[in-house]
Amino acid sequence: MEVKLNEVIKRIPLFKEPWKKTLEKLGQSPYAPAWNSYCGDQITDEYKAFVDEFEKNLYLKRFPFNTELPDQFIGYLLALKPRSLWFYEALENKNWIKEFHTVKTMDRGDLQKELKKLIPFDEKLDDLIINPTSGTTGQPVKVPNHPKAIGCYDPLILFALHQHGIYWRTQSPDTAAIQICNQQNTITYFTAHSFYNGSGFAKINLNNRQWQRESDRDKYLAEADPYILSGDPYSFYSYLNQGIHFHPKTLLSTSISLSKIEITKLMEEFQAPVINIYSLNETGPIGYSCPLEPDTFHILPHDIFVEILDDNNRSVEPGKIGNIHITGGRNPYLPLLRYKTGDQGWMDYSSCDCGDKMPKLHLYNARKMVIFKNLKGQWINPVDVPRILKDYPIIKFHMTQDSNLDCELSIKTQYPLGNAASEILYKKLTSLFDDKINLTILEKEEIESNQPFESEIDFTFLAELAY
Amino acid sequence: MRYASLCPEIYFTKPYFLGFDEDSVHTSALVNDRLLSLGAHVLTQEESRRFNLANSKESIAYLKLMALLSYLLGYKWFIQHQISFSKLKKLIFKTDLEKLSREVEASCFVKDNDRREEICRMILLHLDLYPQGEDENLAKDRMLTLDSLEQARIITKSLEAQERAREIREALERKRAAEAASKMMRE
Ligand SMILES: [Zn+2]
Repeated sequence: MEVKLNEVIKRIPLFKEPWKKTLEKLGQSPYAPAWNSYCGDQITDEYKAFVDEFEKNLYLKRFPFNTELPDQFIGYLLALKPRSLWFYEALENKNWIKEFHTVKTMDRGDLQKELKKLIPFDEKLDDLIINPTSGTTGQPVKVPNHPKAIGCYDPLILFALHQHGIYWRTQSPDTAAIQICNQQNTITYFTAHSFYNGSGFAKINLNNRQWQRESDRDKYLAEADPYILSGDPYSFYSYLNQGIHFHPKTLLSTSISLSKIEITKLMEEFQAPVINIYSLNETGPIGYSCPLEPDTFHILPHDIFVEILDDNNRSVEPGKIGNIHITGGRNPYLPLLRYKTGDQGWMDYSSCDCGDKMPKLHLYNARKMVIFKNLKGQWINPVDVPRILKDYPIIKFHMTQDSNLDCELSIKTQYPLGNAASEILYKKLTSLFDDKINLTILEKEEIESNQPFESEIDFTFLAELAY
Repeated sequence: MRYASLCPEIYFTKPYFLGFDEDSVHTSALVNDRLLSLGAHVLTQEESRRFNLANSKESIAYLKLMALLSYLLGYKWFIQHQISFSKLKKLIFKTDLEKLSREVEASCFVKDNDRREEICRMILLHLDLYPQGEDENLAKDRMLTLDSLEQARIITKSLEAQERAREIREALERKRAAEAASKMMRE
């Protein structure tokens, strides 16, 4: 794709002329990879004011909570009740304020089926956007979002850095962050964020085919010199394995939970602090790793209430494992009422020496790194699977690989796929594995597992590091 | 202040309140009497016109509701405690009372438990008072649930849900929607 700067600029409403240099450096460097998309923050003056206000409250309104609905959420729910049919019905019970635990919960299936009830009547749909998921759930759902809600990711990331003693706020544009991934195919772009005074951001794919020369990756990163390197542990593993030497000031890890040992190892390898973020497309960031107990997450935004419930939607005792549910948030198209994330964990409501008043969440058995292998013994990133599946009417899926490297994909579809479509799907999937893999595709009425992928192959990526 | 003690007042509402027509009861006189008993100024001639059926387009249903409201405002607590005259006037001239009178038969506010609670709560909420044992949130929530106009609006909205579903589907499929806003991490 031939890159046109003005295509990027028109997606940054508050763009200023001096930011052009950042864009040129990131986008038109001789070492730059191939770009395939345009993207901007879409932040207008009005949305900037919203994000600024959010940031102010993020620091000022931190509060301890336990299993009871905190008072500040009552106003939020009362305001939504006359605006959303879902809230109106769910909050019909006379005693919901005192007995919040009786209020019905919602899950990913409701987002698929009941979006029309949930989106407030009076919310204009003009600014609706959809940020693609990387497929960490087996139940793909189009999540309507708003630029101002996505804009809040920036102050949330800054806050997490701040809690780790990292103060970064630039007055003159440079490179804020580069997000790395390693997969067959994904969106790549470069842009600038108004919130960071025009600092640049690029999303790159470490996959060989995106670069003119292998050595370009290291040169590009060194030249761009991003303050933050974001990605998931698999992309960090690929980064190190490809012999890239550039060290960012901060490593921002997302998508899965990491053990203390894994975090320490990453910090050693990158010689930078590692901050882990627990985040879902539907909710936005939920937690950031506590600097003192890095395998736990402090609740990150001040505008969400986190509950741990059992399978019958009853509160579990503090410290007991259960399903993680979220109320609140700032996405105008997706107000959340006891939304079931599909992950499990437990809460620690005791005060923390790091000083953050928000309680801590421990993820349990959730979001472990799953990696497949082809017959040559090369790692295959499962995130390429949902990218292929999204062209099919699939409600839920689950893919496994056993120790013989045989794969099985279970799918629940809106209607039967038919032979021709099944065959194409089969070919696309096996080509991910260099065509030589035993794959069975099963169409099922119901899929039990909430994890999208399972593998009998241990991915001990830290043990595998080439260093 | 307890709404529980206000509700029974309504039980004793004289049947003629509900059966009256413009010949037998002058609503503007009832409203004026009530304002006087609460220590407020009487209506101006201009304001009175609103409650005079001969000179207004308002339906008899509205006048019945206003008569009932005047009666309820005669509850002794309101007379004993200074209530805000500006709030009182705002309540009396509340424009959606006409809508309410079209939606709900005046007699229902006497006979039906929920409607009785609704009108009592409406009065209290407009005077910034909460029933005993409740706080602002609880009182607002209860009103939201009981509010007949709110219910009518929600029913209309849910009837329009098909149309809204189509709008949402279209918005999700629009090209612009496919253009994500940039974020520096992913899930
Ligand atoms: Zn802490």
